[in-house]
Amino acid sequence: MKILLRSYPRSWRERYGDELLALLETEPLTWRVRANVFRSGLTERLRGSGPLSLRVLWAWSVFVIGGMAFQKTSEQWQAVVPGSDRALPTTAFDTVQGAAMIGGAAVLLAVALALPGLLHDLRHGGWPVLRRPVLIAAAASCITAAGLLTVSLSHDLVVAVVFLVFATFSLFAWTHAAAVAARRLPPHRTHTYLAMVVSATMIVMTIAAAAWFASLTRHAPSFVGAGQLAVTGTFMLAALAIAGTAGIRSLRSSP
Amino acid sequence: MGVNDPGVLILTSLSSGAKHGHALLLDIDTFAGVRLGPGTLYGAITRLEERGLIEPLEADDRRRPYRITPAGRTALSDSLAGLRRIVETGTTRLAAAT
Repeated sequence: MKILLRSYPRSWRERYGDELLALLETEPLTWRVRANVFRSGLTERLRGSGPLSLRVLWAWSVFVIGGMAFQKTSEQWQAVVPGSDRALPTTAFDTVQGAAMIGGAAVLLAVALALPGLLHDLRHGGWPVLRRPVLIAAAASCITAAGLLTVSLSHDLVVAVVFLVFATFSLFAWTHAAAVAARRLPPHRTHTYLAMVVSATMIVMTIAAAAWFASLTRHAPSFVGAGQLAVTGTFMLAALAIAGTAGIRSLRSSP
Repeated sequence: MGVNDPGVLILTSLSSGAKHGHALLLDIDTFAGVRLGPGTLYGAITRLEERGLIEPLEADDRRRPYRITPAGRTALSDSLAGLRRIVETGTTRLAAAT
């Protein structure tokens, strides 16, 4: 039962965790009850995920997975489209790349703006709070790096899948560490503007990627696999949903 | 808030006296026929407490009772008045149609 409670944010668990556990001990622990608690925990996490900029950071992390799937899918695409039909897919592809650069630059700028505050916080007792998420993220990165080496040597599908799982975990672990660090810093208005820029680039990339997929499917149906399309679409749309929800919440809570 | 809204159900239950989580689930099941999930119940309790509509009392072991606040009574009263208008309108229109 305590594992179920891990789906809730720590602050929520500290306040209501014991009460919920006591209640769960009186209930038959069916799969329906487990799903209800797990879903509610994720909802609390989403609610407690901080200001707009942090939620957009999470959206960006999710979007990166879709972006990587798109990047992998689009390798050598020019070879399957006749030169006379490349105008639309070229424009769409260049748009994705341009928007990705702008979005990436905005995220890096946000990190750079937060660095002085982060260093100040680390010097004044912030490390004990950050230690655990940072160590977990660093460990995940080390395993991912080892996995990359193994994948390049073995070309085994299972190893590749394990590598992808750890790479994704590593990405989310660093995002979590960044979010924990950012929550300790005073809010910065520029971060909100940068979050809007990042959200806009994700919208542009999703539309451009959809146009690229549509164009490629028309010219070379066998080039784009259903799995690649599903992974790219799922992560891009999930990221937009997270960013959109964050934007709506931010608008509602603004005076 | 609708008639099946967990917030309304909890406020309605607490309007007869303070209760902890398990007692709330049983009472709501009895008067509304709605079995709330534990996660849903505590999500609604969190929201109601944040809005100052309910307040926690001293914990009895790990079970903490909650009671409705004056602001909670006002909110419940407003919600019930809205629901009453819907019931009356629906009843009148159904009667007119038959």
